[in-house]
Amino acid sequence: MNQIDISRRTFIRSSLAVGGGLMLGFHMPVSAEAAIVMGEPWKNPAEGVEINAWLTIDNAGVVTIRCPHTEMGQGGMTSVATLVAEELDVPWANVRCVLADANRFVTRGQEYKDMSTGGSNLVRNRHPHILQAGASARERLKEAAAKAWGVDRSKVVAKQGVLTSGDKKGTYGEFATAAAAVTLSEEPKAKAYKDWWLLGKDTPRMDVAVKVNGSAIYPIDVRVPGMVYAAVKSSPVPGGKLKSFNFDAIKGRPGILGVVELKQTKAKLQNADMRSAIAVVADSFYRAKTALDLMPIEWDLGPGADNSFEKMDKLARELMDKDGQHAEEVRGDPRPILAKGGKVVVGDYARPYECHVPMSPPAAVASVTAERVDIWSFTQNVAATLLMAADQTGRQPKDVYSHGVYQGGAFGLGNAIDLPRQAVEISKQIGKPVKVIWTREENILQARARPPIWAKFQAVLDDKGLPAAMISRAIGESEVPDYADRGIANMAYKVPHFRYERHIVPSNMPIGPNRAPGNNNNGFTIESFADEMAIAGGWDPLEWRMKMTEGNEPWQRVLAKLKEVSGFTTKLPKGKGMGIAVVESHGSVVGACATVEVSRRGALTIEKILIVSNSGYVINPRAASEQVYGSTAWELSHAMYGGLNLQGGRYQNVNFDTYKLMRFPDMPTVESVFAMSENNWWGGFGETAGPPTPPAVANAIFFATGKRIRTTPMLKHDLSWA
Amino acid sequence: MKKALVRIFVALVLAGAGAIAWAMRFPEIAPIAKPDAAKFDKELVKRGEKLAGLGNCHVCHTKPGGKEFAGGLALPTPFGTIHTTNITPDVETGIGSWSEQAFIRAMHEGVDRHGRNLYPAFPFDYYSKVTEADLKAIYAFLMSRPAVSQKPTDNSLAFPFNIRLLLAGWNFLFHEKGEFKPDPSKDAEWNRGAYLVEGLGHCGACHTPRNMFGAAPKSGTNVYAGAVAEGWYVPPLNASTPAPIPWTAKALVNYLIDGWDGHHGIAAGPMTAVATDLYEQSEDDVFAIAAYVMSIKGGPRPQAEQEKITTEALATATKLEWGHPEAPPVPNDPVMQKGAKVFEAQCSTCHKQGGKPAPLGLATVLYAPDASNLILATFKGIQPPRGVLDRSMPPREAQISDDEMTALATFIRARFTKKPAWTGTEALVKKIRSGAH
Amino acid sequence: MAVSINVNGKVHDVEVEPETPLLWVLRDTIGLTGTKYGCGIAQCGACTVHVDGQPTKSCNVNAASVVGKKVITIEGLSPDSSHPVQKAWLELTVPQCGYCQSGQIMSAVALLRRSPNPSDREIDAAMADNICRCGTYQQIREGIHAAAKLGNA
Ligand code: FES
Ligand code: FES
Repeated sequence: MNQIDISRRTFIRSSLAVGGGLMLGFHMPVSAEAAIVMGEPWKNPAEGVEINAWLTIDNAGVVTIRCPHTEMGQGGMTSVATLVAEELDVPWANVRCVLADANRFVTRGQEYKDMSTGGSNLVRNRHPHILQAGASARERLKEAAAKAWGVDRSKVVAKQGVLTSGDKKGTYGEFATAAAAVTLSEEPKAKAYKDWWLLGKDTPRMDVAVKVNGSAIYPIDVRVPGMVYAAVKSSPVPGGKLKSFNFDAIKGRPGILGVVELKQTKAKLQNADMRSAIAVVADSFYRAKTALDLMPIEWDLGPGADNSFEKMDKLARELMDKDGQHAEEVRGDPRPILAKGGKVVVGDYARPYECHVPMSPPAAVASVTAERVDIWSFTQNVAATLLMAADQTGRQPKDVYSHGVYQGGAFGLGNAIDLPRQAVEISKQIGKPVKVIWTREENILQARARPPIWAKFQAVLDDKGLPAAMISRAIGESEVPDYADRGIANMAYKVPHFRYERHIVPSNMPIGPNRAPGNNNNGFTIESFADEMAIAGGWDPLEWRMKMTEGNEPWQRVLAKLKEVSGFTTKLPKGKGMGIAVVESHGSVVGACATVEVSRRGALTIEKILIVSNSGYVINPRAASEQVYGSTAWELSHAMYGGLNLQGGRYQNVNFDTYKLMRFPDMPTVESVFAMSENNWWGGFGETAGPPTPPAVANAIFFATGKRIRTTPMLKHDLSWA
Repeated sequence: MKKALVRIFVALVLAGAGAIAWAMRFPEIAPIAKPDAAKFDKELVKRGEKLAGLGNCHVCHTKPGGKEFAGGLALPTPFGTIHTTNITPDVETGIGSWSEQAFIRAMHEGVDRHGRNLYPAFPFDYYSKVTEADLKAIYAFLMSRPAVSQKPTDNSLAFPFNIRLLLAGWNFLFHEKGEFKPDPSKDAEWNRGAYLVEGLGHCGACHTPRNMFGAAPKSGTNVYAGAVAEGWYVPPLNASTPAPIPWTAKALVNYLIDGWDGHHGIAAGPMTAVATDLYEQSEDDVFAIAAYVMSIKGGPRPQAEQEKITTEALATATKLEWGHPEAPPVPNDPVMQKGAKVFEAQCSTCHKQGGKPAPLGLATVLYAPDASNLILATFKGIQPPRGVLDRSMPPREAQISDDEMTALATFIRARFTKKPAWTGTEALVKKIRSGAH
Repeated sequence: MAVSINVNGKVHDVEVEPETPLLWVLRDTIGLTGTKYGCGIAQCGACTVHVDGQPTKSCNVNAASVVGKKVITIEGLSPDSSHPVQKAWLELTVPQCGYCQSGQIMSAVALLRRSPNPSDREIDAAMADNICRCGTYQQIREGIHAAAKLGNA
């Protein structure tokens, strides 16, 4: 096998120097103000002195910050680095960032508190301890200088990498070693918002340089000496088992090294049970995959083989008209009021299964030797992957190394996947390092998809045309039914009498988090119905929302901004329409205004999506807006084109020819505007612009055509008008 | 020998007609100073741009990689190769010195400013139907394009076709003069459609077979009966279409705008540019075109019948798709086996059960009289029309040998249709490969 | 069987079946992992390289068919990320996860070579085959316009 040249000049080498010596090369970034190097710098003193688990400082004052979270395109590394640098107070040009070591994390008392990435949690919920890490390092540097100069720490100023006190002056680099030995009697407090110098600014993301020249390493790119390749197939129907296979039929093909059967096992760790699967191992992925495709395999598909979306849909629609199995009176009791009748508004909605399909098909490289286990995997949590590998191999966590690499998108799938188990199991059985790649087809078939949802709402309007009472009946599938509640049970519209009910439709399709889980579907249902109520009551949809959320400052702020910048109107000529929607999720309130044109034959053009976000604070407006563009495109993909076709217990559309995504020509202009409350509240950004987008489009289509879209994908509907 | 006789006959007829025409030849129209582009009314120019799109002017008057409207595209005709002219407002090499009147005369009569007859590859026999008002808009649009100095390439026509004067005779025989006259018995949409199809759209120029004089008749059974253009088979627009699912107005509208319809397939060859131009047009105009074309087909079928045929054809085609559990096995014949192997290797990633392309059994190209479109599409690939940019097909010329292509075409025709095998496929493959097609 | 392929100006003699897609030869045999696998069926553009200057989906051409031709991958675009498209991409921080970007960049470079100052319409047509799951389309559009300016400067 050809290895990439590894030379000290162009690569930082992480030499694991154990039996056989695993070596991995990573390109240095080409040019960037603040740059990232990858590897394991804590093992490399040349990188600087470790002040705490979060950072090292070298003689020249270069600070290397360790990011415990996954970089999957959301700008996680940059967020961590800016948070630390803000408190540390170093020139941004001196900042580097690396992915932190999971082995250290699990063996040394979890110094990073948490290495998981998801739920838009990084800034939202981790900022206190990340800021703390920077502040603590700064105070220790100050303490070291104070001691050296014989002054009190309060007399030392730390600013932009320089410590001063009177006429005394020194750099962070000079005091790094001394600072490493300092113990503080009391940890400092994080600084106030008004004192921010770096946060709140447009800092370019740090991971870009390696992503314009092909040098960023994703799990699928990892190459280690002696590595072989495996292609796997799990039962196409979840819960099915391998019955038989005929390895002899493919054994003689070039490069084939063996076959590994993977047994179904229940895992201790949530969401990562190993499915019954078969793997063909070869000296190249193409040979492994081609042989696997040709190998006769028989599955016992199990009872799941009868499952279909059509069946689920039929049952859900029957349940919609029945009282919910689970019910909650949120306010008052709407039932007697609805029973009396009057101006009643009813709407039912449904959305199908959807898959993450990160652009990088999931892949993992594992090396299981007598001494240690190494893994580079598709994941959103290197520490969880480490524990999973330890569990699978029966090793001590200290002997397992789960390496951080870039992720080619993950969107929730990286939290729930048995791929790393498969990789370590195959390596264990064949005794060689192995790279396992899921084909796109396997990725979709094995997806822990976004669940489908159904909802039926009924409301009765008062004499002002506002809802007096409302019943919401959500229908979720049985694997993760709670996703059916999010954003509905606690909706912001204070209908005086409101009751929430839920039904469950049985299904065995695995479910997992998927960018804005729950809210992504429920935003569509509730915000479409909000427009239906407003229109039935003779209200302008924007004014209606203002009225219904009176006193709710974050909502009012977003709605006021929407009104100010969107030019929203319901009075456009036929064929044109604007629609609005607001969804609160992941700690943020986000409004969308869609402008669409629907031609006579029903061709839809989404001209523009305006997104107004209120996350309290925003630490990097530029990076936040990039997430806005991305999550808008993401939700539009599903709402317009998506829909996994579940038939015969498995998804039938398993590649991009049949599972369609948003493409370049259809992408509307997205504008991102902020309306921040700025009152010590931190919301998420990685997935919050998605949920309000589809309902805004559906509401706009209504004004353009008079047609109410109640299911997605929207483009399946005939939108033509005469 | 036969060919020579035909040629003599043609020459005699044309010469006779030419003599008659001599008396009615056209005078030169005096050159004008190049009009100031800024002086044209903006709205008029905009309207002209749309109309020029409906007439597909840029398609012929632009050579590959060349400046738009500067001409130079080689048009192979049975009589030799014609090169399109420069219609940018360049005074020396283009139409910069043409007055509006000269332009209108060219469009209506097929003569240039000097009074010389133009070859009917320029479809003035259709453009003559266009109203003066529309032509003035197109003139304003063309005259406000950037002037490009590019000398027209000389045509290489064989005797006697290189004698321009004979074209006057052609005109006399085949050119029906006069702008479009609406038919009061039909509704406004139909009339608009007829105006566009018979005029600027010049659909018949490709869809009507030309007679031995290279003229496309405007009446008779042959009108819109399908033909060959630039080597591509052009399916009929009339009731004789071989498409397994009959066209509906809605399918036509979608096909014309997107260049694709799920029950018929994708526009390819010269039709790609037509669909791309229509993508930019007002949808009402395309609805009008569809209404008129439907009347050429003899009107829509009763809905129940249409639905029945559609359901059945769709079911049959779906079952024949590659990978369908009920698909028939490949016959034990070496050519079929070979074709199937090539299909599996080169085509089946996309053309498969539930795949993105329309089912092959519904694709009109498989019902064509010969394999030319199939071979051309396979070798050259399909550039997607503007309305469906993600539906391209990569060229396979380098990956498929002549033998393989022949076997592939034979296999595809047998597998996906019930039609008799194509003949002459092997020779066609060679011809297309050599570029002589 | 040995196939001889010219990649980024260097000739590689590789032992692969001639029908092996170029994508896997580049990634697994030659070790140039900048070219990505996304779908394997010519639908996503992640694997786009240039073959004799033409943007080509490397998952959809086999090794044998590029013999005697010049293949350029993202690694061969410039030695130091100095190509105008790369510069524009850096300036505008176009990539998010980055996985699709090799393909996006190769398609954009080919477009700019054909049409140094492309209209939005041309961009749509040239980029329609490249999916970006992170939804960076808007920034790619800006990036292409910016690169066009850089290229002309
Ligand atoms: S991997 Fe080649 S186009 Fe998707
Ligand atoms: S940047 Fe992630 S797929 Fe395009």
